[in-house]
Formats: sequence, C-alpha cells, structure tokens
Amino acid sequence: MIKTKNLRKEFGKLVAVDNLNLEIEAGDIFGFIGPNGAGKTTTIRMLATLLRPTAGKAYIDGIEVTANHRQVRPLIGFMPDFFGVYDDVKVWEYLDFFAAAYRIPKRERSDKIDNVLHLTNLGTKKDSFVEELSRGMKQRLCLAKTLIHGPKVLLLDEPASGLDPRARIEIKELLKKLKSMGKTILVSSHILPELADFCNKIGIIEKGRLIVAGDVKTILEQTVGGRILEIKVMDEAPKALEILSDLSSIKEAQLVDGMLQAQFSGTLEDQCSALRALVDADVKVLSFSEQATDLEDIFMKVTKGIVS
Amino acid sequence: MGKITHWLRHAMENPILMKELRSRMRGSKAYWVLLVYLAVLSFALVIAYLAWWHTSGYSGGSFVIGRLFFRTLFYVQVGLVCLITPGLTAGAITLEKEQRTYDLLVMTSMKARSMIAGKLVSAISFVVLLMVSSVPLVSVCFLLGGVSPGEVFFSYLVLLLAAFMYGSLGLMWSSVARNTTTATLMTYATVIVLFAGTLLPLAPPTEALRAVNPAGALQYAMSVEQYFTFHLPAWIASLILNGLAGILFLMVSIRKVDSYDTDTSLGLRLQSLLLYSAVLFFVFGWLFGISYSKNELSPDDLLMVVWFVILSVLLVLTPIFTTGEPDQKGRNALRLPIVGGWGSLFRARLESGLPFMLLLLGVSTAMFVAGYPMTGQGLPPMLHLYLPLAAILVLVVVAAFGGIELLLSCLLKSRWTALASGYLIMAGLTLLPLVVLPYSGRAAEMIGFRPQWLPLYLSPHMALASLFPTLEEGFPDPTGGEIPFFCITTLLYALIAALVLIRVRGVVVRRWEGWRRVPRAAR
Repeated sequence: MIKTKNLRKEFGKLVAVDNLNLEIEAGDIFGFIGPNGAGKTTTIRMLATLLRPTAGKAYIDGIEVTANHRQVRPLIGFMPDFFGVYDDVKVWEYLDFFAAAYRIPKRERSDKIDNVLHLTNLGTKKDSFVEELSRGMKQRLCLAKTLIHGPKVLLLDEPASGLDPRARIEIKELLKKLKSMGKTILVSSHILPELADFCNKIGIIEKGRLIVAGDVKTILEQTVGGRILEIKVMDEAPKALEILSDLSSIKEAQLVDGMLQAQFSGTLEDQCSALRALVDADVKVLSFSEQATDLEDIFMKVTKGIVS
Repeated sequence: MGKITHWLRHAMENPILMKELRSRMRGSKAYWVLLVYLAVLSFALVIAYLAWWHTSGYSGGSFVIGRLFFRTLFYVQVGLVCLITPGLTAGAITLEKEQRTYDLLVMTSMKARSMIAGKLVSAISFVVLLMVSSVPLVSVCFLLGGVSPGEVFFSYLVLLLAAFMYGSLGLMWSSVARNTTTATLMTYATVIVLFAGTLLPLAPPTEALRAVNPAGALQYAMSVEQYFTFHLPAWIASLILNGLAGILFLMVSIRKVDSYDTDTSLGLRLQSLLLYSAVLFFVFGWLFGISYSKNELSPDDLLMVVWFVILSVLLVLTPIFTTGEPDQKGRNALRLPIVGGWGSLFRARLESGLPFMLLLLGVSTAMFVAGYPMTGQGLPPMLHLYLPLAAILVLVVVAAFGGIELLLSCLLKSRWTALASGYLIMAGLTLLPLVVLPYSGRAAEMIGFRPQWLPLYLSPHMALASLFPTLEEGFPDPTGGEIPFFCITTLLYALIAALVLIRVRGVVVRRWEGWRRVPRAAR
C-alpha cells in the first residue's frame, strides 16, 4: 500500500532522508520510530505530497506520488505533528468545510460528519465552537477531519504529542479502532510505548537512514538476538550457570546482580527443558521468567544517539 | 443560462468562500469596519460641505454641491477600497500557514485556483458590502442634482475593478511571503508605488493612461485618446491593464499555493506576455498617435523615445524573469542559458528566463515596426540602420544583466537576495554613471563620440541617446581611431554577457558534477 524506492530529500547540503526503501502492506500499522530530527516528518510529508523528493520514488496504493499527486491525495488522510484548527467555526462547520473541500456531495456530508464524530467520541461537541475544545479534543477533531473522506492510508505524524495521559490513551484506543477497520496506518513517534501496543511493523530511522524495518518479532530476534530468561536461584549460581551454558537453546548466560540472565532462542518446550535441567540437578530455583523485551530495547540497540 | 446557473451554484459551493464569509460576518469585527467606513465617508461629506460653505456659500445652485459630494464620496471610497482590500487579502494565505491549517488545505481535493478564488471573492464581497452601505450617502447627491445614475454606476464599477486589482495584489504577496507581516508590508509598499506612480504627474502624461489609477479613472475615464489608429476611451485602457495585471497576480498566487501544480507555467508566461503587449500597445499607440496625428513628437524623437521605453521596461523586468532557484534537472539547459532555454520557454524554468526576455524584445520590435503601417506612415529613412543597432544594444544589455541574475541565482541560496543584488548591480552600472550629468550642464556634448566621463560608457540609455546623432552625422572612419559611443557600450555589454554566461555554465557544470556523484539509483 505504501512503498518508497530510494527516496531522498536534501535541504541544501543537509540530507534529511537518505535513500529510504520502505514497504508497508495493506492493513499494516507501521510505527515509524526515530529521534527528533531523524527524518520522520520529512518522509511523511513527501508521502503526503507536501514536499517534493530530491530523488527516488514513492507510491501509495500503486500510484506514484510525485507525478500523480491529484489522484493520491484523496487516498491519504494526513495528520501533521503541529496542526491548527479554525477557532471561529463550530465543530460541524469545521468538518463540513473539509468534507466540501474533499468534494463529498452535500447530501452525504451530514451522515459522514456524524459517523466520524461518533468514532472520535465528539458527538456531544457537534455544535460547540472549536476554540472551546480541549487540546485532546482538538487532536481527535483533527483525526475526525483526517477520516472524513474515508482514506485508505493514514499518515499520522506524532498523533499523541503534547497530550495528557488520558488523551493519549484515548488516541491509542482510537487508532486500535482504525486498525480494526482495515486502514493502513503509518504512525510516527519518538515515544516508544505509544507505538508498542498496536503496531505490527516498525521502522527505525536515524540521520535520514532507515536502520531497520519489519515486523516487531523478527526485529527483536535480529537486534537483541532473542529473548532473555531471568532465573533466581538460592545459592548454586555457578552450578546453574554451567548447566544453562550446556543447553543448546541458551546462547550465553551470566550472573547480573545475583540474578542469572540467559540469552534464549528456543521454544516454550525448550524453556521447560531448561527449568527441568536445573531442578534435576538439585538447583533451588526461586523464580524463572522471560524478560519483557520492548521497542525501547530495540531502539537503544540499533540507534547511536545521533541526529541529522 | 443553465450553464451559468450551474457555474454560479458551483462557485457558491466553494468551501473557502463559504467559510470565509461565515467567519468574517461572525462577531462584531465586520460591523465595526462598516461603522468606521461610513463614519469616514460622513466626515468627508461634512468637511466638503463646510469647505463649500466657506468658499462659495449658496452660489452656483444645488447641483454644484451635489457634484462636490459625489466627487468627495468616490475619491474617499477609492482611497478606502485601495487600503482595505489588500488588507483583507494580504494575510489570506500567510495566516493559513501561521495557524498551521495550510497543509491540511493543500492536502484536500481543492485545486489551488479554487482556494485563491474563494479567498479573493470573499474579500471582494466584503468590499461590495461596504460599497453598498454607502448608497444612502450617494443618494444625497441625486437629491441635490448634478450627477447622473450612469456616472454613479460607472464609479462603483471603478471601485470594483480597484478592489479586484488590489485584492489580487494582496493575495499574490500573501502566497509569496513567509509571514503576514512581510506580506502586509510588501502589499502596501506595492500599493503605494502603483497608486502614486500612476497618479503623480511623473506617470504617463496622457490623461487616458492616468485612468489606470482608480482615482484617475474617476476623473479621466471618459476622455478619448488615439492609440495607433484606434480611438478608445480611457476606461477601456484601465479595464484591460488593471484586469490583466490582476489576473497575473492571481496566477502567481495559484502557482505559489500548490508547488506541485506545474501546469500553471504556460498560463503565467502567456499572461505576462499579454500584459506586456497590452502596456506596449497603449504606450506605443499613444506615442504614434501624438507623433503622427497631433505632430507633438517628431518622427526622430519618436524613434528614440520608443527605444528608451523598450530598454527601460526590459531592464526592470529582466531580474524578475531571470532569477529563481536552479533546478538540478534543468542542468543541461542551464549549460546554454540562451540556446538551451528555448525548449522550456513557456515552463517558467530559470534557464528560459533569458530567452523569454528576448521574446519580449522581439514583441517590442515587431509592435514598433507595425506602428508605421498601422498609422499609415512610411518607414523613416534612418530606421533600417537605427533598428538593428538599437535592438543589438538592448539585446546585449538584457543578456548581460540576465546573465548576472542567473549567476546570482546559481550562487546565492535565496531568490530574493539574487533579485535585490541584481537590481543594485543594475542601478550601479546604468544609473550611477549618470550622476555626472546634472553637474556638467553639457550632456549633449557628452553623448557624442567621446564622453569625458568614462563610466558613461556603461550607461545603455546614454549609448542609445547617442545612436541617433551618430547616425545623422555619419560613422567616423574606423581607421582614424574613432569608435562611436554606442559601439563601445555594445561591445562592453556583449563582453559582460559572454563572461557571465560562461561563468554560469561553469557553476552549473560544477553542480552537475556534484550531482552525478550521487548514485544513479538515488536520483
């Protein structure tokens, strides 16, 4: 649904996006991760036909973006990181304005407005002035505007930035709803827990270059080298280390702060075998668990902490 | 009829127009503007009445005061419309950028021209509301007499045309500038230049062409002038020139609003050509008119004045058309800015700026030559010598300054810096040498074969002025070491043009080499 081929953007001597190759299937929720200034917004703006690439191609639903921006725009719902709303209009007028701008016939507009207001939980605010809405509500209103023309692809640039925890959770729930509606979503953020819940694919960008991209599990294996088992034993730590090191599913084991940490790349059966091996050797196991590895671990592992 | 209704319905469904109208009339701001507008008009009427009372009392009949009221009302309204309309449009696009709604708008299915049309029509609609609110005051003039309904109707049309022209100007700056402050400043600076420039006596000495100014249009609109063999009332010149300029401003706005819309280039260049031709038609037509019908200008002077006009106008326009941001993909054409640029003549590319200027020179020459048969005159005897020499001089001067602008565009990052630097260099080379003239008191001698003040060789205007006397007196014998003034100036500018264009080629080739280092797949 979204594809880029050697996409590049230069601002003078600065290379903001450097030969980006990306492929996102229909129905994917793609988390675009990177530090500030990494090139996320520039990439999204090129996909949204707001910036011309210096070189390379971008495709939305098989249509080349630069040459066919008129055909591509109705397919996209774009929500920028910083956006404004017209304060002197009512909520329904705001949505009606964008519905008309997307050439939705007048007779269909009312239903569509009600639908998106219901979806974004703003139904009760239909006749309120936009300036009376809270920041979180304005964010949802912008998302409602983004959905008004029924786009196939959503490009959301930092959709939850600057929101309080409650509004953040509301936006997250909304994105999950959109996922269930089969939308293809590219969502950027530098706050990783935001994306961890609902993205099935991620891409990490740093200094304009895509460092890693793919589904979360594969990347975990590629980058962290598998999962970590955390085992606490009563007093036979060296013996336990020896036993674990002999197992084929354990790549490496070490003692960290009195806790055994083993790099594990096997199945659940192999985990049971590891525990059984320890118990059979009379090692007193106090706890045995798999460490939760998340996007933050991946991010810290692959990025170098530099920005363009 | 059906089509018109359909078009009107479509126009009224313009989302920008509807939103702007709704927002503008919401709240008390619009009513305050209305109140101030009517208060200023009423105050002006009171002042006019008191002035009349103190100067002539009741003498002359009521129609005198009726006429005075009418003039006062419309002159003040012209001022107000020229002040208010650009104010309404100068922030139209920049405010969208500042409140971060611009990207959301551009992303919709609305075309740039619908956005611009919506913004302009909403601003003009508000001005029309202000004009309509003045009708009760204008009706006082009917009570007093001295004014015909046709005159009133025509005056409102002049106001409407001014609202269109100055509103479009505001929109153009709004789409070009980065913020509302710059857009407003640039808009009002241009309004002052256009308004004062067409009103003051330094404007064309013809009454009819002064009607280009809305205040002038109220006074001179009906005066008829001869353009070549056509007798046209001044309001037609006003309508054509203001209308074409307004459309050109709108086309620039449309082009700037959506950078992806490249299909406007052809229209923009054609519109520029059309406006240029229209200006030439009225200026040349009037010059030919006063020369051959009224005998106010000798045929020799006509020749010189026309080429002075061509040189001056082309010099003013050259930086506008030859600056821009060089496109990496236009590298091949930029290698040969004159030869290669013809291919993209109507695509508003940087490399085609110089060929476009040469096209304007061609149009000017053609219109000038056509003027003789159009007015039923034979070609003057000196024309076959004067014309090619003058044309070559103008050509090399335009090529030199165009080349300088191209070079600046390639070297500097900002088009505005290139534009400002270009105008400064041009002023320095062409105008500074002339500062000696008021002190010499013998300008005529200085434009002979050998100017005593050497920098005068750089002044193309002086070279042009020296061309006719040189031709009249005959070329000196080149073996005697005498080289005419204009020949030196022509050669000098030809040399500058060649050097600068070679340098442009060098800069672009270097850039192209840098670009070639980027892997092919990444381009």
